[in-house]
Amino acid sequence: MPLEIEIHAEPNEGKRISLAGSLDTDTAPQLQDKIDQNIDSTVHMVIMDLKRLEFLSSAGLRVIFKLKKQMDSHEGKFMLLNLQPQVRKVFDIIKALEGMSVFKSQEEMDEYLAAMQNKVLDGDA
Amino acid sequence: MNNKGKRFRSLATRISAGIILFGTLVFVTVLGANYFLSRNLLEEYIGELARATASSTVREIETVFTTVATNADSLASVVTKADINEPQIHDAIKAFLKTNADIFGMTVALEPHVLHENIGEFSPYYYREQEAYGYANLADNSYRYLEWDWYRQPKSNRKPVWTEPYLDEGGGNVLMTTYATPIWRRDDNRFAGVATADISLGWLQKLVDNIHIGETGFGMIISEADIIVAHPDKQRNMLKLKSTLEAEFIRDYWDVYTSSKSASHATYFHAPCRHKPGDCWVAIEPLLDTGWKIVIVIPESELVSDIMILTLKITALAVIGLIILVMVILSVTHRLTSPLARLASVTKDIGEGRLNIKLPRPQRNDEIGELTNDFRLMRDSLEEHIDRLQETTAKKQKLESEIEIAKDIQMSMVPGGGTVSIIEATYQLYALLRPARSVGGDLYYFQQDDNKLHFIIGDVSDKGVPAALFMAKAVTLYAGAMNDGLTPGNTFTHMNQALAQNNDACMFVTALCGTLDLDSGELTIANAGHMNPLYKTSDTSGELPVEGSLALGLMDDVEYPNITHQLAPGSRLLMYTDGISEAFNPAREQYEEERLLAFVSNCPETKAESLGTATMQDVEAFVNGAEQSDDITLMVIQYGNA
Repeated sequence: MPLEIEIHAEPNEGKRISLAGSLDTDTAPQLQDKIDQNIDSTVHMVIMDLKRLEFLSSAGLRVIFKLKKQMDSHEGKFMLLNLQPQVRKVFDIIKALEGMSVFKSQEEMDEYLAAMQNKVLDGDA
Repeated sequence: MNNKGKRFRSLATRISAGIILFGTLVFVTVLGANYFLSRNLLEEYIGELARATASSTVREIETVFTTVATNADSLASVVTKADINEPQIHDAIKAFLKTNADIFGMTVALEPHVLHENIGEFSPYYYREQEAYGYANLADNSYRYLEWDWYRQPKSNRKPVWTEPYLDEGGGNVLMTTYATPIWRRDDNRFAGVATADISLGWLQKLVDNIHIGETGFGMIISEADIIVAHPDKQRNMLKLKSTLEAEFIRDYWDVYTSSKSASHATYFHAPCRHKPGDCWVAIEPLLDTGWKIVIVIPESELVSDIMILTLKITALAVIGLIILVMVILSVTHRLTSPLARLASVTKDIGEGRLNIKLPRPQRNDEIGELTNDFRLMRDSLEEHIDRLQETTAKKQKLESEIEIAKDIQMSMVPGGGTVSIIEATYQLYALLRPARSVGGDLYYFQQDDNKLHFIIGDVSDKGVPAALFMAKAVTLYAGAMNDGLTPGNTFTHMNQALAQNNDACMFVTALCGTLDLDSGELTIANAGHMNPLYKTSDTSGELPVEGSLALGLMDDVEYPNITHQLAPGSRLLMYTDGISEAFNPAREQYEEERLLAFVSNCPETKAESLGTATMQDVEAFVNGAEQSDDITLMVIQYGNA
């Protein structure tokens, strides 16, 4: 099964990576290439939308962790969105979701982002 | 190179054959058309020739006959003068004869006592005799002129006649015809005799002798009574036309002709020859009002044969031309296609791998030259390609052999080299590691230390060489931690710390590790992001929950709790990697944990090894030949005996 990768710009120097299909040993290098081309230290936020991701293997997990690590290194935000049950299970097994920002839906993420925004504003005030 | 069953024929042969075929076709058509057109023209010409010959012969004879007749008419008119006497008639005859070279002989034959009371039978006949003139008195008793046709016919018909040819015995003694015109007494128009002029038929013979058309074309003269007057074959002269062979070829037409009105007109027709094969053109033309006919016969085949000969000559020339043309074409096409033949043979060599073969030089700047050049380019690029391929293949072979060695090394790092089955009094253990590629990232390890069995099963993210290297590191770390006597939780904490360091690639290992007290059955186990083990006792089975932490290598400072379970004797633990639960069948369906649990629960096997191999058989049956997508590891531990 192939992997479809779409990367769009988001507000606040953000990028949204939407994946569809299978992220496995064969397709993980494609995602890594796209990340290398599009995500650098100027990107402050990455939203990984896995709404249409049907299969995730450990090779794919590795690429996702690497991206998270990369974002952590310059204090960027990394968020996972719309994990399908079978994908969430893969994360759960390796206990990888602890310490990650995971949102079930766009609304939930928007609320979180708005809250963050307000917090920053309050702090400034 | 050749089509199945088709004989090889060179381009040169094909082109030549095509041109010969087409050329021959054109040539035969043109020649045939030429032959038939010429033949038609010639047939018309032959008919025309027959008519023209007949006409001109008639004209020639006419001139003479008319002159002769006019002279005889004049003589007749002279004789009717009232006061003419016998000597004057003699003189008149001699005078007419002298002035007219065409006349053989003349006479005036009088009806006794009509013109003059005192003149009885009277017929002085003068005729030519070599250089002089001969005289015969036809009025003597032996000749009896009054009974001859030339006298009686004009008398009875009351008009001039041309007699049938006859031998004038006692007169001129030659074959002749006579024109006899009646003499009329002036006062009462009574028949008073005849004036005659003879024509020797010898010159007619010369006339027909001179008619030569083709080889056997001929002319003849036929009298009113169908007597042959003149014929090239003199023996036929004076014979009845119908009795001769020649008559046959015109016999069918002759009767029709002579009985029709056209008998007084010229006619011509086409009829089968009688004297030789083929058709003849026949022209018949009447001679004045004499009732005589001139017949001209021309065999068509003789003149047509000239055309045949001409056609044959042209054919011979054309054949020679075609042969020369073919030779030229063969030579030109051979020159054109010989580079192709050389290229074809070179292609064969190249096909068999002899790339360094010498290519023919392009000789001309044409399509073939271009092809040769392109061929050279292709050969060069092929050579380069093959060189590269050989280089790549060599590299690949080297890499493969290295990987084979790596595989041996990797397998030597796990107890039993990838498959192991241990049966002790206190426990049984079966383990199997099957990488998806030559080397992989799965691992297992165990070691019995007095009454403790230490074990680990793990799965490095991804597969292949990077995973294998990481696996080696993990196994080494585990062996080290075990020797240090660390608990499973601390073992993981220690391993994680080491693996997470400088792990920019974010490789990680999910693993279960534990220690089984073989005396008490107490199991201490820790989980680093791995799937829970399955357990099976004599009466129950299910998932053994092992609360744990993050997979190894992802983050620093992760604590892994030790979980303890009490195993009843005969209990079995089954641990596996996702190569089993995520094994795909050809329909891209996964084997799934549920199916594994169901199988293990229902499996009647009682030994660790037989449970392990039965599980693998079930997985293989499910996969049904599909390619193994991930490394597979399975470990079954049985505590005590059931």
